[in-house]
Amino acid sequence: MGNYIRTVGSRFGAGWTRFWFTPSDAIVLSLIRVLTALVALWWYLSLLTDLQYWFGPNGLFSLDLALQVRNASESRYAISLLDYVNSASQLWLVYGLGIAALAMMLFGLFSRIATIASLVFVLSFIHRAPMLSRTVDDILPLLMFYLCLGPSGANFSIDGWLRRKKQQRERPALNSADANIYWSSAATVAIRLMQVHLTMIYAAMLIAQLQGGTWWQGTAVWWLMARPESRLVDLTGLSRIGLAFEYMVNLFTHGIVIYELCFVFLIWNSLARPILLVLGVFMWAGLALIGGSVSFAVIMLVANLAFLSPETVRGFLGRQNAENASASAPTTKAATSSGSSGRKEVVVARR
Amino acid sequence: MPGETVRALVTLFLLFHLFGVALALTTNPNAPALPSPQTVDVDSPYNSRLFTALKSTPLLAQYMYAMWLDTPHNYWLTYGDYTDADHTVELILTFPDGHTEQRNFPPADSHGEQRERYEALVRQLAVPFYGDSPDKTLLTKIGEDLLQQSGAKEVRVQIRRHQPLSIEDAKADDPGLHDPYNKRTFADLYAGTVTLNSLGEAEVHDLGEAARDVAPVTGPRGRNRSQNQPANNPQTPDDTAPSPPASNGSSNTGSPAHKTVLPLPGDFNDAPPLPEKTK
Repeated sequence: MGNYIRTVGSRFGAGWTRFWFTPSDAIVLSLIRVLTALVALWWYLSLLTDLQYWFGPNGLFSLDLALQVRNASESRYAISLLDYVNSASQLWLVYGLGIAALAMMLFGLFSRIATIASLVFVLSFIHRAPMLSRTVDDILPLLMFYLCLGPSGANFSIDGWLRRKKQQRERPALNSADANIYWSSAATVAIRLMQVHLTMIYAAMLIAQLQGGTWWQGTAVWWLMARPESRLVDLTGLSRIGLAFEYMVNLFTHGIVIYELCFVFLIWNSLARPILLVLGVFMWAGLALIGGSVSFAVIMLVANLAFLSPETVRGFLGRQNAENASASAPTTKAATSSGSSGRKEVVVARR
Repeated sequence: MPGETVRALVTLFLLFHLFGVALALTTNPNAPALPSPQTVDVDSPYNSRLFTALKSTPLLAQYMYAMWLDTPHNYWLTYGDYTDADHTVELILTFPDGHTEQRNFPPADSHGEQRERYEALVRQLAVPFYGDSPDKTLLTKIGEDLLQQSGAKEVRVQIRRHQPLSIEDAKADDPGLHDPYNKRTFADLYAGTVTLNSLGEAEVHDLGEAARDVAPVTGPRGRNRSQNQPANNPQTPDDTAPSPPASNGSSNTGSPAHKTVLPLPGDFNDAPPLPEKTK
């Protein structure tokens, strides 16, 4: 019995260490940083037209209202710079600083600090008016939070460019491919958190949808596309096709549920992963068109990128494949996430 | 790879964080939702007392709320019921000199993110009125802020629902049936006025019996049972749910506490006539 417990403990510990701490190429994290910054900037700039109307000194969403929501529970502690804004000009100043922080995050200048600052600005507006929050407001801060944990400025950034310049100055003999790749355990932690959280989100969506009859009846997609004010495109005219159209609606409705079910379990399989990621593009694009939540669809697609491998990203960008730089990889090796074979040595951390 | 001490500390953080995330996901999707994130209500019948107590753990609760991580992510997208339809709020401000001004939420010229935010706000305002004892706190507060901002003496609020068409209606030849903007697709949910009393506090006054085309409330059992019920009688008298709360910010949906199937076209024949829209 004691041996069994020791064996379980040591294998769990080894697996845990391998899963969370094996250094990985930070390029995927950097890509997510750039795309998340773009979405965040879009999200933030869309507040411009109603900034004073909503959050100004005589705004629709006063501090009193925000405090009333927060004070509904003793456990609510909110981060909001807007709590300290007392005039229109101060609001403009705070808003402008937020744009600057997001721009720095986008271009990767003092990336870690910029990402933390950007998160604070985004949370400030969310906490000030939680009644305006939508699904994208749930996903955006969590992605930004995870980006704060890792070296998201290692690539596609001014920081990365400066780092490579410095490395080449200090070590002229250094291979450019080696200089390009930034191995980090913190990157692994950040990416793994995104992966685990995203899987939980899909699971929660699946369970919630199965609570409703329309998802079993196969009509949920119709009720999404039939809302005149929310949809981007009106496809209801296709209903005149007849029974074939109803079968299509049923198919897409059930397809969404099956996709979410498959994602939860099969995204961790290296063979199924590319298929699920590609299908995800079509699913979310379709939901954006018929449901109208474009920003939600975009941020979910960005989050899905956490399951891309660094080799795929580098291959797509035409950069040095990570495997060619294996000679400079950290001494600690990783096993594939698709299933550990108990091997002690594998070249790169795969997802 | 980092040293053992660093790995141990990071592991503790990971366990703390993932525990909080998992707790947030354990929120009963049938539970009333308040403006997100979820309120921890120890007396709530919807969640176990154990999970509720765990969610109130000091530090964990503050961390999760502050980082906006305390969300259940139960994005059902649509259940096809009344609360998932589009809603609008018409506001008519009356100023001391007698002139009036109309504002709509969402504004007609809004689009993209701005429109989605207004739609979220309108849903938060509208969903409570599907219950027996609607919580007007948000409506009162917004009305108060609007009156103080504009200098108006009264704001008349009209909340309307824009019902989506059924498939049968959409493919019908009769233009009155397949027109998504036909007036029969609009239903008034609530009409009232907000004024400021002598202390500067807002008071909400209901405007008589507005044409309430409100679906009967069904509870969780009614949701599954409604699939087998006749379309003209979705009500399950034994299944009542507490007042539906505002949306928790989950996508495009209202409260899961009461789920009714949208009525078929014939159901509107017995609905009371819609009131005249104020010019």
